[in-house]
Amino acid sequence: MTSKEYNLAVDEFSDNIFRFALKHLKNEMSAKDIVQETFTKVWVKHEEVAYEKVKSYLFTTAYHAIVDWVKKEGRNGDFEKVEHTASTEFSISFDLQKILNEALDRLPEIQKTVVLLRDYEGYNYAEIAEITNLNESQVKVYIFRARQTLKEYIKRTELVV
Amino acid sequence: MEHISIFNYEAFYLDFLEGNLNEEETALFLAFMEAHPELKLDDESLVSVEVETSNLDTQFKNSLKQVSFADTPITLSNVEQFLIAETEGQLSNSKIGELETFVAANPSLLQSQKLYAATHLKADTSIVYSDKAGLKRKKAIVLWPYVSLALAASLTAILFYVYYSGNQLLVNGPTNVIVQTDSTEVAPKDKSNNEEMNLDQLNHNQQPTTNDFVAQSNPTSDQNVQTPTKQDRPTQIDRLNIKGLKTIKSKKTDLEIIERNPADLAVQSVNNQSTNDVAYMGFQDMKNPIKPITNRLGDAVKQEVDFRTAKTTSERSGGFYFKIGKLEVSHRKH
Repeated sequence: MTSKEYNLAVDEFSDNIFRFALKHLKNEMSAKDIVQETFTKVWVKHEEVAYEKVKSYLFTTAYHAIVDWVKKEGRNGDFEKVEHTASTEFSISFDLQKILNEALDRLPEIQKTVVLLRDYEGYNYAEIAEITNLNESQVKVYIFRARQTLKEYIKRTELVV
Repeated sequence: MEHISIFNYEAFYLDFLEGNLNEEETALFLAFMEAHPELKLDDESLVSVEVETSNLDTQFKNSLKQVSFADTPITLSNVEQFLIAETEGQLSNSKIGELETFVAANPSLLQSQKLYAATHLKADTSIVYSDKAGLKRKKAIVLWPYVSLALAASLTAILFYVYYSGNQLLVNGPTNVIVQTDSTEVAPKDKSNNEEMNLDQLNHNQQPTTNDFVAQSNPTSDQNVQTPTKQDRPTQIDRLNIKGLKTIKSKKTDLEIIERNPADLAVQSVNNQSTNDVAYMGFQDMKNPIKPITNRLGDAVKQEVDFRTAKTTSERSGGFYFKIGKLEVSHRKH
């Protein structure tokens, strides 16, 4: 892609990458670092990447950057570790999206990634598999497990409210 | 049957303890062990390992199974999978209908169906990346090749002009008309020649008294002519081949203007260079020491660029010749 197309990609996808990173890292400065690192890496390869593929290339790069960041910073240690700590605090007012975001934080990072790519960006299973370097069956399994966890969390919240 | 030896008896020993030997093999093994009592283990119970059987939860086992949503019938054990598949958009219309029927028959599943439908996240579009400008790249226009070539050409011309500034310069006009800015300083024409001059007579004229020179792209008949001196005469001029020479008498001065139509000039094949120039015709014996540079400069500026030099020898005089487009600068040392 040309430099002009690259700049168009900045306008079109930088917010998406930022939200994706922020959901994982829960830190604005770290999320911005991920955005800058992602676009820098894409710029280096921009002549080899077609504009039609730039979105998936951006998310793939961002995903790997997040994984590296998590490992480097020692946050959550294992990217697939299940968050066992159950929160006993539930919001009094039932804000569904807020509850879902709380539930999302309790998912293992890999399940969080696939759910975000599915719901935020509308990727299908094959595209998610390509971004996360999983196979399609694994993606389906992770999404199904994530949905079950989210559903149970909402259910418990409803009961409390 | 494989022969039992001290090299493979352990495998037979293990099979014996696990009860995997048939009668013939057992007899052979026992006979071998009688012949080699030193190989018998002190505690044969250490060899065998009992595998603990684990019991998995049936529900967990079912969750591991791959459900073919198109073919598998909906049951209470797999309805959760179908509810998730429905919210993921993985079910066909017929299967959705089947699921609706099943849920209607089992009202307790309604809440689960609603909860699964609510598990879809929505992006908070108020969260934006503020420094987009910092991510963008500006397109850089590469000028340095052209600038460097232009500078090199200018520097070359300036250096040679400065070096030879003490000597007389001969300037050729773009249409091969030799001109000079200051007409008052131009030497008068030869008194003995009131008729039209040919090229030979031009060579006998006096030298100009000024170092000023000018090259014009479109000389007119009113311009004065600076004629070359005998000393500056090109050494290899074939007068007979110079066609198109004509003389025009100036209305303002007594000087005569020699104008040649470049189209009528014969082309002299000298290293494939243009031979329409009076000045050039005396410099084809010189060589271009920077041919790659002049070629590159010519490609960059899209004009003919030539530079030639030669040292003074016993046979010929030295000097230089520089041409860029219609501008020519040359000098002969004597």
